[in-house]
Amino acid sequence: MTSATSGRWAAWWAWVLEVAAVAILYYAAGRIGLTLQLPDTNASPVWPPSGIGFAAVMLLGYRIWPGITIGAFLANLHTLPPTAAGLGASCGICFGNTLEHILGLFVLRRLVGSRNPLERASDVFWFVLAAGVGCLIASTNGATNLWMWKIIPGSIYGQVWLAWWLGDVAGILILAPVIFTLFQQSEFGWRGMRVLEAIALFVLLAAVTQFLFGDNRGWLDLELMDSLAYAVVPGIAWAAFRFGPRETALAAALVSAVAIVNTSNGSGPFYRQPADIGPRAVRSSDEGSTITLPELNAGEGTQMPGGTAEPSDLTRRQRAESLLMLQIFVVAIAITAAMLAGAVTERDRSEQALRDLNATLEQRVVARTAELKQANEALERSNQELDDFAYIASHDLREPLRGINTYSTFLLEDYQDKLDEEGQSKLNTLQRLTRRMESLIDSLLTYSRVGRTELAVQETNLGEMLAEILDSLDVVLKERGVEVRIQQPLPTVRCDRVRVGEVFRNLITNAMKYNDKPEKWIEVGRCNTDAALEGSPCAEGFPATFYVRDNGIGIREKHLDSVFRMFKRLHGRDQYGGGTGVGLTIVKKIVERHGGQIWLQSTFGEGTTFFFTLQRG
Amino acid sequence: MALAPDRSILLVEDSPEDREATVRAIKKAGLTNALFWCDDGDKALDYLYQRGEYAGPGKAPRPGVILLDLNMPGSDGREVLVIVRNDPNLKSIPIVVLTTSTDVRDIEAVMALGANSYIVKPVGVDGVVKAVQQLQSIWKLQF
Repeated sequence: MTSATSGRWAAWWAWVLEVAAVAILYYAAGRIGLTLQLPDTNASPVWPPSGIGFAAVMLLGYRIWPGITIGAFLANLHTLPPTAAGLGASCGICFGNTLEHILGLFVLRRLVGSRNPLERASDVFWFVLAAGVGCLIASTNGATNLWMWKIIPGSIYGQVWLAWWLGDVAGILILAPVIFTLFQQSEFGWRGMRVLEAIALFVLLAAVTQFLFGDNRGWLDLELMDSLAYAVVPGIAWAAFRFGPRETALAAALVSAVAIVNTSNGSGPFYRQPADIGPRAVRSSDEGSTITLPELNAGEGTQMPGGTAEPSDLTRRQRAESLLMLQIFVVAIAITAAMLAGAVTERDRSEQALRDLNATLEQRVVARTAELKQANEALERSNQELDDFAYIASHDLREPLRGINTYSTFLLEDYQDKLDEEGQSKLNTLQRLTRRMESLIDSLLTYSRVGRTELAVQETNLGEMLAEILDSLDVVLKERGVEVRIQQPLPTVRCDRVRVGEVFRNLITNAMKYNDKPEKWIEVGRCNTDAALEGSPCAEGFPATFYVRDNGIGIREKHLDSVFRMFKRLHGRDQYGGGTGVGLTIVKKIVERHGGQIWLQSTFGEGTTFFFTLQRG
Repeated sequence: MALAPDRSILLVEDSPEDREATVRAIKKAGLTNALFWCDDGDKALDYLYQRGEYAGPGKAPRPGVILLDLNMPGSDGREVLVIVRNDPNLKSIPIVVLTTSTDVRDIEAVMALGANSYIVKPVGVDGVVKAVQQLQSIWKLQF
């Protein structure tokens, strides 16, 4: 035998054991249910087997159905008269009882899915609905069977049906949560005060219920007692708020049990003393004996009509009333308990989930911040290293270069008479090249310096600064015939005066150099919120943005991105006054060190506008 | 255009090429003063304190002006500058810094350390003349 087959056999045997256990429990519960019958009726207000059956399908699934069928068949067979009719009715009823749980579970799974239905208020509502819908089958099937086999007359079909239905529903609502929650994990530790509190709760609840339902008429005879029955609800709430669904279900079961036992003993607010059965003192001696009531064979606890006198209509009505009130009480308590426990559990769960979420969020924020900080530090370090490298490399490169320049100058000076024109020209080229090399290295140095050194931030009057710059460029500007227009007076801002001066000087010099129009102009200004001036280059929503605009040669769109790239030139080395191609790279770096941004708009052949800000944001 | 001829010039410069260019410029500018040369900061301090190889009378006459390169191995120009400026015996000696940087910040920084003038390298005649004029205007023909 392979292990796979042995595994299958083990599973089969486990199933057989489960089915047998459910059948036995169901049957035993049926026997207990019969002892809960109200006086002078065969009706059990609560049919405990339906609670067993429903808990069984909730815990074990549809496959447990044979256990329910067998248990229900035996319980009914034991209860119904030992005749062919009794056997037939038992067969009919047991399938209805099985279907009740199959349908109930189907509805429950449809509405709630596979999660625990007692942990949310809305799920509890569906749980109640599933129980109610499932029990419709059992009560309809049961009452019809009893009527068909002529065990009850058609005249009380409605009463039997209702009592059956309510009894089954009450059984499910009271017992199924108790059994089901027994198999769920308890959420808190049972320690010290907690145990004491639980004991206090159950003792107090039992005592109060006993007081309300027991024989207290001697010293508290109030019409109010009927509604006082519901005074147990605060105790249920106590269980729900201080403990879990399991304890709340137990509390509801305890209250129901005490209420039913007392009512079946002929006391309590729901007991209506039948008019035709003497005073209670007399009747109580009959306790334990079964008085058969053909009119009210509710639940499966039905017995053959027997030799008692026909009760009056009044008696019948009072008995039906007692039963109905008790059943409604039990169902109401059960629903209240399950709803409260579900709502409280749901609240606790969501609070816990929120706390967990907060904790994980905090953790994630901390972790992420640490990561970012690390990445930032690494980036800063590598930036710093790059700047240091650029500085040191360029600094050390300059010395030999200076030597070459110096010695070629010496040659030109000392050997002027020995060198012919061609030799001198070549030496001049050498000098020109070293000067170019030097200016490239200088640019690199300046660039790295902007990144390396702290900004000397101070209040700077940009208007004055611009005037100084234009003053120093005056000769060149006049020479080239460039008109500079200052659109708005520039403000005083906090910035590095020298560096921002470089930005303006560079942009203005560029605007001046890259211009081939006969009438050249440069416009310097600042965008205001209200600067929707005619012809202003400011798009809306760019306050505190400075701009330098020209009517120069413009930049082709495909080059817009590369103008800020180091040593990138768009034109030949000797066109437009030459240059190293690092000016805009430095400008960008300065602007960014201030936390600002720089961008441009350009139309090829018409002009360019550079925009920049000096602040974050 | 002259420095007091009896005062010597101390040139502190590690690069022989730069030194040659400087010496040439000084001569071209018409200065005939005795010229002493130290190729790093530590030697310059030895010279000024007349110790080590400069111990002994006549080996290291007190200079009338110091031409000081900034970037040198060992003690660099900035250290020499600070030591001279804080020594009561030496602090009256004018110092001209030879710098490779045209950056305003750098120049302001060395002037703040106590330099009296500066020349941007490579040192040419113009630089020397300008520096000497500046010294003369400050010291009022003190040389």
